[in-house]
Amino acid sequence: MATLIETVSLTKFYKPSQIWILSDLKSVKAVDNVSFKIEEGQIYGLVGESGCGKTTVGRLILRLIEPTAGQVWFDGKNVMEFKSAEMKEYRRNAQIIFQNPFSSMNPRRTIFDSLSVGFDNYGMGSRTERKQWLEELMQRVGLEPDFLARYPHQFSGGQLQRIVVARALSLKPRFIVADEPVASLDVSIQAQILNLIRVLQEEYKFTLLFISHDLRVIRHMSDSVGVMYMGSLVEKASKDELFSRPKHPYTQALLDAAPRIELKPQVRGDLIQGEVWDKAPLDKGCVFYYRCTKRVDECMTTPQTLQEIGNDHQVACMRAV
Amino acid sequence: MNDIPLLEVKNLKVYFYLRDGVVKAVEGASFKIQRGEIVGLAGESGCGKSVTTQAILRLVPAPGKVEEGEILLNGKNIFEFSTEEMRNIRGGKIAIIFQNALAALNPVISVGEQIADVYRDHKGVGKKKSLLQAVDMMRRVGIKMPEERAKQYAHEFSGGMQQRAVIAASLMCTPDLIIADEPTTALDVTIQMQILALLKHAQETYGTAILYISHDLATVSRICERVIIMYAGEIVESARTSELYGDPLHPYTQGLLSSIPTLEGGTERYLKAIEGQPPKPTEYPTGCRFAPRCSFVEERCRIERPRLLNIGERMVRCIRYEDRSNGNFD
Repeated sequence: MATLIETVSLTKFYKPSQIWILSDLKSVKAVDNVSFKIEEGQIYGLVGESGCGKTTVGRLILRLIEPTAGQVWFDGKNVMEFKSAEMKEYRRNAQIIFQNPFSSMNPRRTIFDSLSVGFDNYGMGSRTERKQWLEELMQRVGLEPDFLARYPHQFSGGQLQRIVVARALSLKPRFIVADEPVASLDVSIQAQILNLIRVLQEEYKFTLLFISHDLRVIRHMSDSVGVMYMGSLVEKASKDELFSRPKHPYTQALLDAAPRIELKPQVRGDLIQGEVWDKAPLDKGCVFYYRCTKRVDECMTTPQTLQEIGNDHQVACMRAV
Repeated sequence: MNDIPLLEVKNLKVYFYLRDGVVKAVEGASFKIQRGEIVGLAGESGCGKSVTTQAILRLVPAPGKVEEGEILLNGKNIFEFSTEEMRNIRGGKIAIIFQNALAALNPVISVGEQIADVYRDHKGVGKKKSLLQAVDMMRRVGIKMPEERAKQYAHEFSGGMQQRAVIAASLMCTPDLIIADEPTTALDVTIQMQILALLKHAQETYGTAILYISHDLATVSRICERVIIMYAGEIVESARTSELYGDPLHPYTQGLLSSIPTLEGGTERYLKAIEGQPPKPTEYPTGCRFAPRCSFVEERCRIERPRLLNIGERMVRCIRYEDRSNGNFD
């Protein structure tokens, strides 16, 4: 299988202030040295808590924001070196689905108009051809073709998210970033949208970066998984490997705390304490140091980088290797 | 302990009169909460769970109206209380915690002062004494260095700490009942568990009953002893936690549970989703409100509204269980 997307030491720092007198304040490491590969036709799950940098990674890959350092490779070509014509082609090939469908659609345009913008940009198809393809797409995502004449407020969240999925597919992209596509939906609708994404992925064979905070959804959807914490990738492996042998103390903590149905009420007070940005990260040493239950003094001073532990499983923890 | 439940909601109906029609947000909800009990009220957006809590505090916003029904607090109907009495109940006997803790806190008053305000207002003590009490409560809910933190403002607290501060405020007058409306929804999973542990601790320490509102069946199962499921303004099922999750009866409950991906067991390629979507509140079907999405639907379901049946200790609103029923509730 060929690699479709690869990030190499992808890094994004945010300076707290552009004002020179404050500019020596520490910058925030939103994404720090993140490298991973997504094979063509695979679903890659990126999981972590709010503020861990998973959304920033998605946006960096699409070049919606520019990285501080590092590269993104698409189909063997360096996206950072793309000139405008290549970039335009890349934008057609790489689409995104956001969490909130209502803020993803222009409220003053009909669905047909919103979904035609892509065709206009690339001068694709006549009006009848566009209409035919969009009507077919609407049916593929489980909606009536005549919904194209409606406005976003006439839909429920679940229906509109189906339309957002249709829009992402309308230009037949090879790669889609789905950033928390079901987080704002009700439980019964979440399952419908996850099933829909799966059906379409199998039919159109696009490659997917699936970003979520919910390990249950990640386990259900992904082929491979990366776990992020405070801007760093702390563990990555195939789905089966990661969920059967989680090695990083953070992954383990996340799994322990993940919502499970219990037949007898039980609240565990013995789980991970503290919060992500309670303390500024260490200059050197492990990003998870302050909340880790397995830390030793060495963790404070030794930078932790991803190490291979066999079975294509990499973990950034010296205690786990 | 006496026989009167702490809170009893009887045949509560809350309607909203809108231009497009009448929204029957809550249609005949009845349930009880015993002293010190943690009861879950679960359902999807628009099912009426939040409106029910607003009714309990007599805070249903216009154009909503409590059409019918009684809410008995310690056996007394709260709709007969004066405005003044009701003010004493809110924050005194019944406290509420919301999903968005930052919005619940005043941005221009220090956190400690706000927590103290609750106490001062209800107990009529001085500023200094109430502030000491507030700092003490902040320590109890796990806020480190409470003396310093009390002087800070809401934006200086992290999400988890904000929710702890709100819980501290809710506990100031040791209420009989805390209504927790999606208290962990906005928080990360590792923080969610910390907040659940704190609520459980409050119940054990102060004997406070908790009405835990959530759309998340997993957190509900972790903290609640009994669970009520609402759908489209109606209670469709109510049972002890082990019964509800071990043997769900209502097709809606069954559908909800099987549509959640799990961390254990095999991964099928597709989830068993409930088809369709909840009905619009202005267009509820005449028969069973779940009928259009139900895979067991019969002709009768579309015509007559199913009653809430008693089955042993539990209740379910579905005609499939009529032969097992030992009476009906409404």
